[in-house]
Amino acid sequence: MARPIPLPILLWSGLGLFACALFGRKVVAQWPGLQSGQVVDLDSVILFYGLLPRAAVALLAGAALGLSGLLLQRILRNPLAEPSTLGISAGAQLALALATLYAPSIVARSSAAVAFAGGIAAVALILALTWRRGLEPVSVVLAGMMVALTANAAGAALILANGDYLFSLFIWGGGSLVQQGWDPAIAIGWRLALGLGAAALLMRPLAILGLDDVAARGLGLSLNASRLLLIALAVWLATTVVSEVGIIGFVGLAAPVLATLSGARSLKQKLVAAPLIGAVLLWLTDGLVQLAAGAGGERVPTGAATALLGGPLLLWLLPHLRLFEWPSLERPAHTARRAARPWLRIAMLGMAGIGALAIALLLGQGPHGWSLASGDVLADLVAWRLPRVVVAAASGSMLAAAGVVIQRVTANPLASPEVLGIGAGAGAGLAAVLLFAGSAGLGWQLAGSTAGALVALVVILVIAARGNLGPERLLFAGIAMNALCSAVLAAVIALGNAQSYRLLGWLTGSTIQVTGLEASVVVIGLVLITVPLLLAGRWLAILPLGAGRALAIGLSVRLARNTLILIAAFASALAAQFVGPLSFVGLIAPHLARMIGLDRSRQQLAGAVILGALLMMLSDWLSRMIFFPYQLPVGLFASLLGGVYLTLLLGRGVQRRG
Amino acid sequence: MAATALLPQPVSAAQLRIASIDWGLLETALAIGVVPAAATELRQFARIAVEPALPASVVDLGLRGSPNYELLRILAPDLILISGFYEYQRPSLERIAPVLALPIYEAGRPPYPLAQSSLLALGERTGRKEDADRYAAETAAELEERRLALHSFASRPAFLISLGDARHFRAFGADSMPGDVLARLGITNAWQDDTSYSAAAPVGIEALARVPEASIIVLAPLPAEVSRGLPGNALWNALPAVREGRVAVLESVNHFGGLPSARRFARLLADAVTREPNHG
Amino acid sequence: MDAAKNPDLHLYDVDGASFVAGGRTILSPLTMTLEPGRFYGLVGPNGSGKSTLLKLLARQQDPARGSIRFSGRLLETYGTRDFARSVAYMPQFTPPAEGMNVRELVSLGRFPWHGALGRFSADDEDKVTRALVQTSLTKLAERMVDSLSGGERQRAWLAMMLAQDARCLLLDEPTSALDLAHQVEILALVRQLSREQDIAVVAVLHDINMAASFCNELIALREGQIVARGSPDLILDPAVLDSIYGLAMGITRHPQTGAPISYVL
Repeated sequence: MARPIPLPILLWSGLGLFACALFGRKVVAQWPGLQSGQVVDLDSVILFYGLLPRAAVALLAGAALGLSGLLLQRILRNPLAEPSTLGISAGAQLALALATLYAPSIVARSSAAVAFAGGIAAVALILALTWRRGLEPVSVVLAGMMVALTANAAGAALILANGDYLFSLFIWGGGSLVQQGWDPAIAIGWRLALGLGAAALLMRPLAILGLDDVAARGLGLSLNASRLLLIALAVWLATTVVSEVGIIGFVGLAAPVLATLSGARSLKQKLVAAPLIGAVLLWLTDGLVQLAAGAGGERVPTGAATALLGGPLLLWLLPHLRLFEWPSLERPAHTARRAARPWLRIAMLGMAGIGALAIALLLGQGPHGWSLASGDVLADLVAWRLPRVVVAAASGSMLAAAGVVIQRVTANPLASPEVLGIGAGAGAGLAAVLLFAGSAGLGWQLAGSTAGALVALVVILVIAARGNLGPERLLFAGIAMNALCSAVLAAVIALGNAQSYRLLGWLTGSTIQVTGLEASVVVIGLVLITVPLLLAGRWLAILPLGAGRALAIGLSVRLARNTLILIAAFASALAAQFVGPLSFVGLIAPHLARMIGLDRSRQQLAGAVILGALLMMLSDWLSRMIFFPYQLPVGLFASLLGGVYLTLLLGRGVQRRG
Repeated sequence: MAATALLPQPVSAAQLRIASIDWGLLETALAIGVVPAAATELRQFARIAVEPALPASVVDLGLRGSPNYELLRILAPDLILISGFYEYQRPSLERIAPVLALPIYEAGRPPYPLAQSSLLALGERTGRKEDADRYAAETAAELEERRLALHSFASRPAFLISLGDARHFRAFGADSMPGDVLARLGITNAWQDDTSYSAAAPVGIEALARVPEASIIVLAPLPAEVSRGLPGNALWNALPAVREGRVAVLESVNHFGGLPSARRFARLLADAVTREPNHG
Repeated sequence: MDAAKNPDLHLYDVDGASFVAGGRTILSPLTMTLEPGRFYGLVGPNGSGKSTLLKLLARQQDPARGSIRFSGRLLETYGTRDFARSVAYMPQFTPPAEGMNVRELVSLGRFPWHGALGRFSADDEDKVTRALVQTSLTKLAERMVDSLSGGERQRAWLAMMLAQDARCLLLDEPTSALDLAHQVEILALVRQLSREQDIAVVAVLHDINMAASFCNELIALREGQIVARGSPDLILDPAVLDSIYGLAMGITRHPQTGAPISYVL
């Protein structure tokens, strides 16, 4: 707005200069001959093959991600689309990990191709899931998050199952820009140049794709061909970065948004500004990471550091972010038929729950294969199986209860403790407690994770209230919160000490260590959570109608909301303590309850609580049995079940109205 | 820990059925002729630790971090071995059998003396005191022998690293078994910065240039990517140790091992160095 | 204190209330009174502050300055449920009320009377049944709300407000999503209820002719100020309409009723 030099340009130049100064400091320190003088040529080798290419990679990878994000956001008309929210980076990373383990010769030949295949698979899956919804932004981002989280969970399980935990995790957790040659810079550079060239050539279709489908088709554009071509280009850029340096979060998201907020209005301006801003962002982050690094190495990988900076940035920007016009979330045209006798149905569910409990206790593998336990053996095994089955069931129930509450309070059928980042927030809280008191007991751990969950949920809702966010933005805020808290976790895990190992175990969720004590704590927690919620049935019935309406019929919205949020945060944290943050039972169970015809608030709650228990018992049983005697994390199985369900939900071909 | 050793012992020490959660103690038990009934992650153990060879009778309990307690309960050992790292599992394990926690790795302490005292304690507990004493003495003697053999190699410091990918390595410090053995062999560890639980967090290859005169000892396994990326890594190739052929790649050694791993490492190193005349 | 001289005379007593959002004045300080039992139409162009005024009356937002009294009492002195027993408000967009049938939705109108934990009494049941009868929804009572047509859904929301048993209904564009026939149906129903039960209604309406034919009195806003107020005959005048919309308009007469009808010149 200021005439002489626009403020944003001044700001970005300033940040660029700062990054440049950080770089200069390193260069001076490494300048040949300035040190001992003995090994001048080694100094220059480090300068020319270490420092310089690292700066080049930071700039080029930042620009490539900025361009990739801009293309994806434009094509999908989704301000949150970018390589990491769409699961492209996670898909590429998982493909690399799988290939490294099971087909090392392919990785040795071309890791870029493997990464590209993984990224394309992720994006193809997401497009397939959301195609019939017209690639509606929230579904796309949600599917992306689902793919990313499942890929990460699978990756964590792979690492766990393959021994060398911490080393691989550091590299898994976030991209490192350390360089010892020019190959990566060249590899990213020529692809970036090609990408920019292609984007410039495809400027017109790209401009039209920013409009809606009907308008674009009206202008005679072959919509799908140009879309797919540009998506492939964006994936190619992003997966190159993954295969060369690892996952770098948030640059692809932040750069285009910051370009817009800095006043880049036309597509041409954005095509210049987004890569430039991405380059400055990554260079600056990497400079700060190097500045903070001690002699023992960089404590936080640059790729995770970008999320630490970018997460708060996005949360702060969200109210100012202009969302593209899009018909709002539509519900299925035919909701399930309501149960004629809901409580009978709930009782039947309860019977099924008891049956599942019995099977989980009785049926299992031993050293001599499958057997139904009975007699003394049963008494013996029940002492082991009962606590973990009870903890799994109660955790599932609590997540389901939290899911019902959050979906009703936010009037958003896609909200849940997992989606809004409340589980990840609990993890960040737990990480903080473990960091300061490595031997903290269950009570302190629980206090930490509850505080983390509460902070995450309150921050999201405060932002939502301030910006008067609709359901879409609420989900976006949740995704940002997820990324931020996951980055905190990745940074702590990368410390590589005993706490890291504990957090890794927590992240994937485990009911293995639980005893009768934990089981009784969880059951008491479940009772303390569900009884008040059942009493608050009317609140839960009214709140989905919206705050204005709830107020108009005399509900003190603030009191009701705050109470319910507190309960939901506590339930999520307590459950996440045992089954990890990624289970998705909180998202699924409320839907399943509705699908079997339980839609009034109390009935839905009761049904979801039982279904949550069923789902988690099943996950726990599978996690114990599938690779017997190796026990995989229960959270991983639960999130895989969740992934399958969400696939069905999104793929069900719900029509948009209007 | 001493307290558990004093628990009532229903079975005579010689016929104790043992289960080991910790790999270092699994090695140690095998070395003194005690064959555990069960232990963890055996497939991975055979790949990483390699020796001592595992008798087929040992039952796999699953992951070290989450052993299968039900299976362990059915196997009903008389004694369960853990190290400090698995202390959090103690409440569950004690429901099955008495737990004997023998420390090998403690933050900031060289592991060799701890491994040796754990070996002796285990020998005591399992009624194989003589075997344990003999093994400790043999190990000390073997290390001394290797130290003499490596005399010329010891004139230079050495980095002891494992590679994560073609760009990062992890350095083993004095608080790791290979690092401690390195010192006992009279070789200065070129990595003098902090380490935490054996090794430092991964750092870039260029950190190896800080001690130009140092040799480099790489512990297998090498990730697939390394064989593709490392030969073309300009910085790696510019390192004096690489140019002058002072790099030794050793077979895999258990990073968290006991005395058997210490011997294995010393033997592998001596073999590699004496095989290649360049060293020294 | 000054309004205490005649506390029950006015339904609403707005004294210098204004509203500011993001530094922009949405409503300039305005002063007016509304009387019980009458049907008021709030009209004016987009952005004139109609909905904001309604929200201030509904206590959905607090005025930046000035005061609003209902039945002589300042709005902020009412408890949330207390106020909802007297005033029912319907925002512009009605959510689909997923997973609820009509009767359940209408029953929510009894919340101000029984609260979160109170028993749903026989009296509550009666009020709900009566509201369903008044809106001719008895046959649809067990249907799911999201399966209703637009007009039916709007009637269901109206029924919920009736079950609230309030003396005053505040409606924000109750007919905006409806076709002509349903617009007439809803407004006729509102007028009839207002007359029969002596309920005051304040409705934001888009269509000036529709407003004129159903309301007792029109209040016209422009740029956050009241520019005209009076009976439909008074407002439907070329000069007044020009002052409201800034648009040259003419007036003709309904061939049968003789009521004034405006048209754009």
